[in-house]
Amino acid sequence: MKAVKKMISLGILTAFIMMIMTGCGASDTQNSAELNFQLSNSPSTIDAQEVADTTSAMVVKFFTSTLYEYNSNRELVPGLAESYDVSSDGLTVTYHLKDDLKWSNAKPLTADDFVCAFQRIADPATKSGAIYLITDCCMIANSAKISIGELPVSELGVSAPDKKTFVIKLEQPCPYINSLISLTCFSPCSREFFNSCSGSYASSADTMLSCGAYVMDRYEPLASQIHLSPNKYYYKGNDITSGVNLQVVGDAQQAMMCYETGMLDVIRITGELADLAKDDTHLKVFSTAQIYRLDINHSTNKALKNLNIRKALAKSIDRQSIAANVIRSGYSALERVVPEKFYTQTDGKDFAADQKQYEDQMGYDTSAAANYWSKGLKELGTDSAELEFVYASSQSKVAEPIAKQLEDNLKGLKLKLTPLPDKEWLRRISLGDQYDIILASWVPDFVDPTALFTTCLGTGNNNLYFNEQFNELYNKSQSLSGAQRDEILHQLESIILDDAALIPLFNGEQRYLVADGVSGLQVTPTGVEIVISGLRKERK
Amino acid sequence: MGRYLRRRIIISISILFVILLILFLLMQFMPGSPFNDAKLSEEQVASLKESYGLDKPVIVQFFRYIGKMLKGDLGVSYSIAPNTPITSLLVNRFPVTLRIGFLSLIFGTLAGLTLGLIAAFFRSRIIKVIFNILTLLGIAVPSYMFAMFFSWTLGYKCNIFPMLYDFRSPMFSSAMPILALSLSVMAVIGQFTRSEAEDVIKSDYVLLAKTTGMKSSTIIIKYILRNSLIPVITVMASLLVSLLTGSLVIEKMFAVPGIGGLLTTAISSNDYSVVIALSFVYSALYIVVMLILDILYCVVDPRVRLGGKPS
Amino acid sequence: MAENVIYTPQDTDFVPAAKERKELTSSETVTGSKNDMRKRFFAQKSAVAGLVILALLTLLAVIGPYLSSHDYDDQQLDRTNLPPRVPWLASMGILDGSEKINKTSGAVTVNRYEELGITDEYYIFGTDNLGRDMFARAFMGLRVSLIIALAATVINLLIGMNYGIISGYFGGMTDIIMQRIIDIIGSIPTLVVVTLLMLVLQPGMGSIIIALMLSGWIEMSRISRAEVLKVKELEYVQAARTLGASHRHIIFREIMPNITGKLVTQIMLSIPSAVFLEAFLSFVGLGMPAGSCSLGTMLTDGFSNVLLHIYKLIPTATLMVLLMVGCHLVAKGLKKASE
Repeated sequence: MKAVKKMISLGILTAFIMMIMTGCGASDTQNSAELNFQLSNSPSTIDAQEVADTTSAMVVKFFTSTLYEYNSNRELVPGLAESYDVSSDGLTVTYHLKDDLKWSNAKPLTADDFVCAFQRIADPATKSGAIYLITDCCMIANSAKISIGELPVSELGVSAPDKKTFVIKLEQPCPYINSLISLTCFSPCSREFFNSCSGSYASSADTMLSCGAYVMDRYEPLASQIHLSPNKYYYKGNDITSGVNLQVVGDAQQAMMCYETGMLDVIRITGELADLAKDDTHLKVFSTAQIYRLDINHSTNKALKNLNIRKALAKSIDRQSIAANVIRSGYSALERVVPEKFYTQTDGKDFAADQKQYEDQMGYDTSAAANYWSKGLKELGTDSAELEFVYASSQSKVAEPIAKQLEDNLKGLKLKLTPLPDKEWLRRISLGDQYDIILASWVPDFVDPTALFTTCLGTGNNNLYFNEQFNELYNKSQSLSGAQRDEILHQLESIILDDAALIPLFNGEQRYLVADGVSGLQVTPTGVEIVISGLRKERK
Repeated sequence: MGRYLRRRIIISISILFVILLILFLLMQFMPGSPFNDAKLSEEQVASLKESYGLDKPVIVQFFRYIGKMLKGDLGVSYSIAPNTPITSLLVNRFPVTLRIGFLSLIFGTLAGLTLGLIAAFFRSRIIKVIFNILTLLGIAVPSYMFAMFFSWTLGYKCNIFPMLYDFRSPMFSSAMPILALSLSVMAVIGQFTRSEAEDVIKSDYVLLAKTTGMKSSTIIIKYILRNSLIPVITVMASLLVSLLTGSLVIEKMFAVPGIGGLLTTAISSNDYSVVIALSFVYSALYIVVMLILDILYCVVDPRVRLGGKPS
Repeated sequence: MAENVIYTPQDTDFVPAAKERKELTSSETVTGSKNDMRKRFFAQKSAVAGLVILALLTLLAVIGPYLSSHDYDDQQLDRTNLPPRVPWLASMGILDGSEKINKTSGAVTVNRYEELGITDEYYIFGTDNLGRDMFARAFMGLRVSLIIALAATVINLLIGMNYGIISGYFGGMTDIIMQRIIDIIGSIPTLVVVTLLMLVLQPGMGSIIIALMLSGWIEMSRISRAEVLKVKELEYVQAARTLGASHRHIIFREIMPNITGKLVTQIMLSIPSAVFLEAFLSFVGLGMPAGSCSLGTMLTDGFSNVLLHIYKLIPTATLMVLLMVGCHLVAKGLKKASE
């Protein structure tokens, strides 16, 4: 049997060789100079004008710049623009570009590239997810008609009188235009380069130009790994010498393990894992305007048309306890539409400094809730109500205690729980008619309370709430400025809350674990994008 | 032989068509439209639908789809990577998945053969128990659980293998996915090899060979290994399927840029054009493998040519 | 001279056989073979152990949830993430509710019970992130998983076995058509079918069972067909056929008893895969709806918490392993016994 044993050892040997073969590619994978940055999912596009989700925006941010930008102190400062002026009626905004702007292919960056970008967003053929920003949020002249194909793209209210001047014509004044324009989708798009790509624009690293801090050198659609190198034509000049590796890791715990073994330098901390990093000095906490709320369908369910029923729902959720014990990771109770530290009034005060201002309408109070509930049921002439509660299955940890509290505190309430995949859940939020109540999470696009009010306008069909008085006031607010406008914004908020048009729940921070040697991570005040310009990793 | 082959190929193609039809019909029941963006107005959604041809009747959509498929055009993605041709999504991913699947198959087969032979030769109690536990675990525990376990132990605690796929070292960084996927292959092949090898060892011709004084190494290679390998071919098809499905979660976990991860993403985003295309690719792959195996059988075993499928 | 003697039969030549009949040996009768199989099955220690494990698990699934003073669904948001504490072990310093947490800044040991001032309550398996009792939940989950297992068994028997037997027994065109259908269903990866289905239907027990109905029975039908093909050509079946027995008689009386062993083995093997299917669906986020629980959802929960609270994984993982091992041991025992 000697030979038999030989055979076996041979077999084991082959197995070992296989192991070594698979293990032999072991090179120095951890180039310590490169910044390894976690993305929680793949970007759906890197075409700046098509960007509609936060991950894509984050990726695109690495290689684009905008007219105005947030710096690492969260201040809005000129980016590609040198300055801007607004006409006296507020309807014409003129941006003056900096000198010697260049694309990463060394060609000059001109005002016409901005015209191209804006026209692409408006063009229905682009199918841009950002189109609502110019049709609803800042109403650029003719944008609405262009978006449904009634007018050609060239009619859009943007123009470039010379190479360094970019003009936007609005249908209504837009007090927050610079904050809006800092979104990545408003970064320029080289017309010449776009045409030369003939349809394959932004499908790979070769078909993308950069005007930001980095140049993309490895990308494929839905990539799980993206690689970028410093851009030597960056308008701020570039002292960055090392590249960036964007790595998609969907599972928070997996990301944490990668961070601890040194594979990732920056990770986002969510959920209970926050406990692990609680008193770590590497933890960076940014307050944001990211919120959870219950959006209500005002049109289909009879019970929800009743004000007392809505009030009862609003007052029977113990936000404090859920935020502290279940969501953790820096979420706190939110009892008004606008979160704290989001919008500063003209008088320098925080718009929502007093979080208890609307306690009567939204505060947790089971007996008041029960009163409203029985009153509401009596008005409806019934003793029970059934509601469909829709939420994203990834957020069931937040939804479950809410559902339980609603059912426990309101006798006769029956909730039908419907957890959905993320995208389907988003779709229901947008349609506004396939739920009774939905757990929605929102990040406003720009720094202005109206970014959180638009869903109540009844025009976007978002949750089918319609109130003429509210819409009138809203339109009025757009043409005003300063303290007068702030006053009206407060009125708008109180209308929403008095009417329990929606139920605010929580406001959250963003938490990141940042490895040694990495500095300058910052998040824009809304929390919708990160600030790239100061982000560095020191060579160790 | 030629006639049998022709019949087999015709059957395979018709199965492929039926699958296409089923997939397409199944997709019609998917909730909602693919335009998930929160802030699109109704007119915008309507114009998007028109441009994708989704406003046409189902039958028209189906025949359009088949026509495109015949031209090798799998359509475009709706939501996960809007407007990107699915073929271009697959081009770079398919080789990655195939490489990992293939390596897991080879690694698992070698390990299984080795283990099976060891268990067949050394019939000591300890080896038997260890072998039983290993194969039991390998067969019963789904690969994604191994993946989680390995990523926690080998990746996190011991820091031997990287927990993420990295294009800068594709081989080394796919060690853990390969390991996790190959365990079930190892278990199945191991069990088959052991029972076959045990039978062969007891068989008359091996006894005869032994009595004629043939070298044991020759016996092992010439008779035992060879005869044990034949049934292994039969299990290959089902192994391949389990590898493919296993890759769904594993690729997602280790951030491998393959088609499994793509499918999982597509499923959770309701991107049904991608799901249809990938299900079709998966099914086609399976059917092709079955066909090849049948042909192999046909070559190996002449009886099949006359009778039909081996049972 | 030889005489031609004519033999006259005598009475003694035709003595009828003795009244008492010789007992048939056990291998010669059908019932005998069953008894024999049982004997051979129970002769194997591992098989008996498997059976005991399964019986125990079933018992726990029935009574387990009621052994706890908490309902499996009771949320107590002020008692979240409590690690296990066991009454008399706690005084010995084991499982006393303290937990080591490996924070990124270093490991610390905390005792949530003391922090929250809970003295009267003992959670043997701890509580989850909504303060629900994991003990009640673990066994509730086991119950759900066993119900799925039961459904899988019924589906295997009703659809898979019948399909295979009909296909194998009647043969010819019937067989060809039925096998093509199987080819088609079998060529679509199961998990694709299931995930698609779960998107169309509401996630929940019903959908999981429908998913099993669509594809869970294929292996079973293949095996029963192969078995029928083998048995159908045996002499005794041929004999029954020539004697003009009905199809029903042949299938149920002649064929079925002889393939039961293989079929039961297959059922035992299909139980873990049904349970894991549920676990997989939970893992992808398409499993049981919120509020209810199953081994799958709890396992997924446990895995996503390994870094922080490893105690959440242990009870469910143990139950899962036991269930799996039990089924496999029984299957193996049956396989051996029927050979």
